[in-house]
Amino acid sequence: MTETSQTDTDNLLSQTATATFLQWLGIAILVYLLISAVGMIGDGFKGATSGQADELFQFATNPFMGLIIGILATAMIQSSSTVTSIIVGLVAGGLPVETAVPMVMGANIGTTITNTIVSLGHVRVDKEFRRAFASATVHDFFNVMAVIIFLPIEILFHPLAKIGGLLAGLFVGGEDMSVKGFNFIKPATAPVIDAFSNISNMIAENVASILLIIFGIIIIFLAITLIGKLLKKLMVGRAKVIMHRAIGKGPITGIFSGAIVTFLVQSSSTTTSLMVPLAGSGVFRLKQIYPFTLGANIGTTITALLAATAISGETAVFALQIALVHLLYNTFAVSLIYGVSVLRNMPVHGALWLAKVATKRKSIALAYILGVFFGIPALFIFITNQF
Amino acid sequence: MSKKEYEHISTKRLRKLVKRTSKTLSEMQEELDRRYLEEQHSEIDHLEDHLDEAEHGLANFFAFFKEVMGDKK
Repeated sequence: MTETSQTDTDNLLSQTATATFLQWLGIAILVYLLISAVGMIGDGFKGATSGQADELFQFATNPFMGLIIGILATAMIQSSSTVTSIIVGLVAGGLPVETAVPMVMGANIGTTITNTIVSLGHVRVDKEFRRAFASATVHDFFNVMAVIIFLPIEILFHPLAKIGGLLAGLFVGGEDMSVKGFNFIKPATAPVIDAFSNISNMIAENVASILLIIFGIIIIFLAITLIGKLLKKLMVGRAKVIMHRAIGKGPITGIFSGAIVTFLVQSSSTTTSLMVPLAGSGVFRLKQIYPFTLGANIGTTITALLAATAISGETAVFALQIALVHLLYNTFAVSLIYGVSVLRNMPVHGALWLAKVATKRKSIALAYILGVFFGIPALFIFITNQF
Repeated sequence: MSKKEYEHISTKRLRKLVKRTSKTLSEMQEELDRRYLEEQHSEIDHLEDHLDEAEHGLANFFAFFKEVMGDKK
């Protein structure tokens, strides 16, 4: 190698290292903004409701309404991480955990719209479309089934809220009631929260709290979107290694690799959507994609846990509780539904049947998406408002 | 080879044939499995492309909508 080409290689390596460093720095800043925004929502919500959050969310005390709010909100912004982080902020602001649990369950269903829409891209070739649509809707069927099983149990006995509360109590405590080991978060995020509080007060003093919530939601959405984009670039190599290792192994490895890849890219929609073309081409079978998809459900819960670290004070325990409920719910749902063979195959059969029908008449696929994610929830809200 | 033709083959030879065919079948299956896994690994090597494809959600939806409407007409 000549001296010039050696220098060129060195320069290129140094540029790549700088770019990688800047991307990681960007992620660190975005995570900081994310947790600050969760704090902003908490503060804004506290201010807006003057401690009467449960009254404001009276309409959502009906768990089915909470579920629908979760579905609609997530389907519209196509990010369950954003919605669950907002829910964590709202709980920190006084929203009762019992009201928030069905919302978290709804977010799980709402997020499945993304990969279903991605599967529509295979519409031109019937065989491809059938496989892609089945691989996407298996996630829908699983998440709906999980709600059918767990929501009634939760309404009756609150096991998720209870276990979540118990675990949160172990992590949160002390005089200032902040997450042990994360006591530095509140002072660290205070400058951003204060800055946006001041801006909100300058714009309109009487609705400053509402503005703070809106700013918080926008920042969470942008931060999660950008974190996802950056992590995709940075983590694609590692994701490849994990997926290569999972090939040819059993479903448990599939679940773990799905969870890890989702954790790495911080988006279950990304993980589940990226499997759709692989299924459409026929290279991966539905039975291989299914456990990987379930792992995504577990991996995505990390964002809400991260968001919960932003909260300190007396509501910190509840913020962590709802984040843990998200984790517990998805872990229990995967363990139960995938663990019991009769239940395990139900989402597969449902997805295969729907894909077969939708391939014959494409309008059914359209009706399914509009109906399940928007029509039925909207109709339910309408009916509930009438009575 | 039809069923009738087997009648003219000795049991010993038939056993040998079954054994050989089973071995060939399992080798062929192994080769198919190997190719299948190789194909999967090769797809994972193009993960970036699949990630890009997964980002065209809305475009997919509208293309699909057009297709469905086209079918209706």
